Amino acid sequence: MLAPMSRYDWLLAIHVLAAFAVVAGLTLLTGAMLLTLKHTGEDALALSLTRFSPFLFDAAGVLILIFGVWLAIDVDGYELWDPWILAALVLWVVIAGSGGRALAAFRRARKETVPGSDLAAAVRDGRAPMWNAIAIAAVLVTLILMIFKPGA
Amino acid sequence: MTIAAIRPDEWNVPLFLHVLGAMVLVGTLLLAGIVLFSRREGRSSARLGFRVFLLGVLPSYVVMRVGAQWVESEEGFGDEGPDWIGIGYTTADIGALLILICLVLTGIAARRSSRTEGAGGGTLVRIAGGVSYLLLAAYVVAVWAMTAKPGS
Repeated sequence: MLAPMSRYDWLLAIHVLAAFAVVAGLTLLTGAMLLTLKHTGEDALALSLTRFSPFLFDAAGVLILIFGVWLAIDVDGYELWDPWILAALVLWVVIAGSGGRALAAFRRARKETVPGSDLAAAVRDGRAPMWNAIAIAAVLVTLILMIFKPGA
Repeated sequence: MTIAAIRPDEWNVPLFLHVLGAMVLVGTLLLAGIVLFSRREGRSSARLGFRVFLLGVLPSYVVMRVGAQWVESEEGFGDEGPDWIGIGYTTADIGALLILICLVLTGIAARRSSRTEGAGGGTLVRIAGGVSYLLLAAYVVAVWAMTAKPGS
């Protein structure tokens, strides 16, 4: 028989599951980016991949923030103003902003490009590869902060 | 009020690898499932699905599994580990077998489809896609078990 879970267990589980969902959304976005920029002829699939990403980014991103802040308040030993938590909050904004911009470039391309037009050029115009790379780097740094908790 | 858990610093690097591998594994499994079930105007998803498994799912699984073994050796649970480690090992080891099966299925389907100009291998592709989603569900349970640590 498994022991009942505490409030901390639930908060942490939802926080981490939401983080996995955000990384899944970023993986779909990166997959769409690679399919597009390598001119694989899979533009329709790339565009359909970016339809799933906003849900994962938006819903899971909000859950990460809510449950992360709740954990910081609830756990004795962590404070919201701890440098690693403040840095993570800043990185959350960077991830949301850069991921959102990369997705917006795909959304614009989906509306504006006609069959036969160059999706890669449309996506590059919106600087989607750069925003995608920034989002990946910010996720990596956030994960390092969450594991190593410098200064905690 | 919960007191912050303090981990020895030696656990951080293997834990980082374990979590990073697991996050990319979940993301690439979702990507593989979507690719394998995508409708692509007579073109088979097998070749692309095979690449996602070979270049995304398999390497991230290896990083996740190596990280898991490394963390466990640092923690020194011995033969009688807690329930959540059992859940982790069960999903990881059965998952390894299923990932290899998916690689073989999509590889065979890709060969068939290249011989028949995109028409063959549909059933194998759908089976691999279904297994991807099954693995995804199992890994969501594993992530919950790893964070909530039931039975510990």
